Amino acid sequence: MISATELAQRVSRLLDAEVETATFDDRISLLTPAEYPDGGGVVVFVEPYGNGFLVSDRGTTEASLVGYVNERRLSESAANLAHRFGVRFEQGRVEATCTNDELEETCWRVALAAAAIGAADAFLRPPRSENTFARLVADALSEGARVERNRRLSGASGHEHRVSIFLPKTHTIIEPIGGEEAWRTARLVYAEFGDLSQVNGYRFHAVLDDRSEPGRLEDEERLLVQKGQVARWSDHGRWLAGLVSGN
Amino acid sequence: MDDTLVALFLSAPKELAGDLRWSEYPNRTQVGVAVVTSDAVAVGQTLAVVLAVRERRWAFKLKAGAHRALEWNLIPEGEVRRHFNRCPRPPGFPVEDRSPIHEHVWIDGRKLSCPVEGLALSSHREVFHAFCKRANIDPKDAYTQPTETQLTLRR
Repeated sequence: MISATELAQRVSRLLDAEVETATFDDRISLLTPAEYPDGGGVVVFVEPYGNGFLVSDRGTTEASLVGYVNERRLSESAANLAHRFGVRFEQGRVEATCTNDELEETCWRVALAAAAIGAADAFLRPPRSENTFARLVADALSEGARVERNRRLSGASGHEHRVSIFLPKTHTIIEPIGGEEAWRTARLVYAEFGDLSQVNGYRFHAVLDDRSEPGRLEDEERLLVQKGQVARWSDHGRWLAGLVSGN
Repeated sequence: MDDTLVALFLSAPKELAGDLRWSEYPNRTQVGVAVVTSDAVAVGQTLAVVLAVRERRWAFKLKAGAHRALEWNLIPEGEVRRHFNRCPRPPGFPVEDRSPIHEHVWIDGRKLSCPVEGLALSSHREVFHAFCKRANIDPKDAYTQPTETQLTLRR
C-alpha cells in the first residue's frame, strides 16, 4: 500500500497544486483541488484492490444530493458523466480501479467526475414547483367547485391524457404552467388541448405561474392561446370566480 | 428560496408528524424521512442520511417544499475537508470552513458552510434532536435508528 505522504506528493506533482491526505485503516482520503459547484472540495478515497488500487468517492457525492434530485435520473446521468472521465458510477459510487502507475491520474479523474456529478442538482431537480402551483390552483378552485385531479381523458388520437385539474360540472380542463420546465410543459399542454378538442366540447384553460416575475412566460402564453384561454395567476381575482361558476 | 423566507421558515414553530422512516439506497446509504408540519399543515421534510460504509458520516437535511433550508453534515474527526464560502459572506461564515461538523445554509442560492460546535461525541439520536432544535422543530417521538450498523474506522 502506498503511504499518504507519497500519494500526496505524486498527486501534487501531477496537478502542480497542494493536496491533503488523511489515513484511516488501510484507506487514504485525499482532498483534491477539484470543487463541487457549491464550493465544497472533492475528497477521493484510495484503498488496495488486488495488485493495484480502488479509487472512489465512497458514495459521498450521491449522498450529498439525496433528497434534492430525482434519483433515477441522477443514476443515468451520473453513469454517462463518469464514463466521459474514464471512470464508473456504480451503486451510488464514483470509482475506478488502477495500477500503481496510473494512481495519481485516476485520483484526478475520479475527482473531476465526482465534481461534474455534483453539479447534477442544477439540472436534475425534481420539477416540483409545477406540482405545488397545480395544488395552489386546485385548492383555490375547490372552494367553489368540485375539482378532480389527474383525471384521465382520451383524445382523438386514442392517447389517454392525464389532465391536471378537471371541473366535471362544466367539462373544463385547467393546466397550470410554471416552474423550470414551463416551455416543455406548455408544449405538452398544447398537444393535449389539441387532441382533446376533437372529441368533446371541453373548455380549455391554462394558468401561468407568474408569482415570481409578473410578465414572464410570454412565449407560453402566445403558444397556448391558440388552443384555449390563458390566464395569469396574478390576475386570479378577476377570472377565478368565473371559472368556478362556468360563466 | 429567498433567504428571508428561509429565516422565516426556520424560526416558525414546527413539529414532526410520524416516525423517521428509513429506506435503503445504493452503496449502503440509508435515508430516513419524516414530514415537517406547522399548525397541522405539511410544510416540508426532514431527511437523515447515513452512509453505512463510513464512520459517523451523517447528514441531516431540512427542506421547505422542494427548497433547501438547512443541512448539517458530520464526517469523522481528522478526515480532510474544505468548503469555500463565496462572497458576499454574512458574519459568522469563514472564507474557508474545514470543520468536520458543520452547518449549511443557502443564501441567494449560494451554499454556505460554518462549524457547529459541541457534537463531536454525540450519538446519532442526539445530533438529530439538536438539529431539530436548531430548526425549531419539535421532534416528538419521531426518531428511529438507522437499520444498518455503520463501519468503525481506526486511525
